[in-house]
Amino acid sequence: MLWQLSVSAGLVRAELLPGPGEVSATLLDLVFANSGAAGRYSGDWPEHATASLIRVYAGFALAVAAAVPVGIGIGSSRTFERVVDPTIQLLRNIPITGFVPIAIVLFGLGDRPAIYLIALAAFFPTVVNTSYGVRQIDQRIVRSALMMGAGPFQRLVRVILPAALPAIFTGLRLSMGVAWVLVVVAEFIGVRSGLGYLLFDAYQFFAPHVMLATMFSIGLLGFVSDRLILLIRLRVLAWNRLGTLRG
Amino acid sequence: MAEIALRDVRKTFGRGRDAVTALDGCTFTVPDGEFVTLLGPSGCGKTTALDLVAGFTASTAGRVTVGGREVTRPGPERAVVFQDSALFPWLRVEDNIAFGIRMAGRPAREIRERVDRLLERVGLTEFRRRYPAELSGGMRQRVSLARVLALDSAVLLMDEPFGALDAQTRGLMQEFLTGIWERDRRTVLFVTHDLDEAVFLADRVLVMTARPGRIKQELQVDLPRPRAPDIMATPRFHALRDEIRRLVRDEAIRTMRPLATERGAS
Repeated sequence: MLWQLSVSAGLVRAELLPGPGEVSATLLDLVFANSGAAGRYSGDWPEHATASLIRVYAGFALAVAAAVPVGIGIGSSRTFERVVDPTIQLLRNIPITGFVPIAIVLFGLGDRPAIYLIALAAFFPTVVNTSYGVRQIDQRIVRSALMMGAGPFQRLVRVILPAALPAIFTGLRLSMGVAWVLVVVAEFIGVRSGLGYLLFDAYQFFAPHVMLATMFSIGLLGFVSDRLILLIRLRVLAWNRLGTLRG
Repeated sequence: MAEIALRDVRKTFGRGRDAVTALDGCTFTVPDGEFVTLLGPSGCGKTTALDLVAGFTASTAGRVTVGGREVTRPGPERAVVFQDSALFPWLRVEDNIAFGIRMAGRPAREIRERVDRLLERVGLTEFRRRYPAELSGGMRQRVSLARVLALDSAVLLMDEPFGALDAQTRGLMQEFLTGIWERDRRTVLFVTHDLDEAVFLADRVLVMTARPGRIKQELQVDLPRPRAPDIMATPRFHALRDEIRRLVRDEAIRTMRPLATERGAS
């Protein structure tokens, strides 16, 4: 509303910041090639979105596959924690964008450095939350399992994992958010596909309506990804509904 | 035979200056099939003694045996009921009860039948599909009891299981537990700081000293069984309870002594 009003009233120049009406028309044309509003980008969106989605989900999957076991290790073993945790905390504090050059050196151009960067960035929120989730498990719950004769594997699968799952899901949501941030950064360089590339290309050829439409669509995909995780959480964690203080 | 025996047990937590000796020279026996309550002032090491028998911690010195065998780790032959239930919040009532039988690898049909029977015994059949968070405190403790009865353990260890319940519910739970125990007479070690509870439930009451804890005195509870709550109104019950009250009071005062001298000095 405020956005449309300020554009209509001439507070900002429409050629620099197009109004929401123009941006939505552009987005629709980007996706469906129905009006030509996106100019030479008309109908390009599905291809770029697919490329980005593949990178995000591949990177996210790799990150989670590594982060959950490592997080459980850190949370349940003092020795493991001492060995691994300082390294993780150190790496975590290097801005992920700082890894861009090394990713290109290691993996060259194309999908692989992008997926690597996304996986690296998405690893940290899940590993930190998983280890926290394991650490905060009530000791009596573990003792209950011991007393009822559960072996190490059964304790892991039937007690530690389910008990840590609410915290793990928090990590997954944060990781997914980070993955969408990183896909844009990663696609600025070294690739010729993806929404980040589209955004950067629109910037270089000065098409602000396409830039805004692309940004909005990235936000939308990120939002849908988050809802997807919440949906899975709802099904898996029926016992642990997300409530607020006011119910 | 499932006799619990502690011989000259010492348990120290921490090291050096921060070391705390919870138990020292603690010796007692719970004969097979007897219901014994362990009573003492808070912080006297009651729970520590129970944890040793459960195998959750190891003693610093002395021997802890159950059925003549040294306790080295927890196991289903020594079932534990914790204060505040400690149920698995992600499992429904029926799955909480089935957990131990599943761990033992019993066939699905047997598990179902035993769970059905136990649900009926603790009166929670219509709540079988609920999660622990959806139950009252008393119901949760009945589930804890059921999941432990499912193990068919020779020894039952209970750590103030009714301590967090309101007086009304606690009374009902004590009655309920007595009823269950009088049917199959397992060896029970029951930790509490509630005098009435200790006398009402027990064949024998062990009174502990202040920290470091050991047994101060052992009292036989010669009240007839089966017991109902009205036994608490009998002179014999009162006599026993008053004697125990005096013993515990002495110890409680000892734990408070530093406080008393501080006040005297100021």
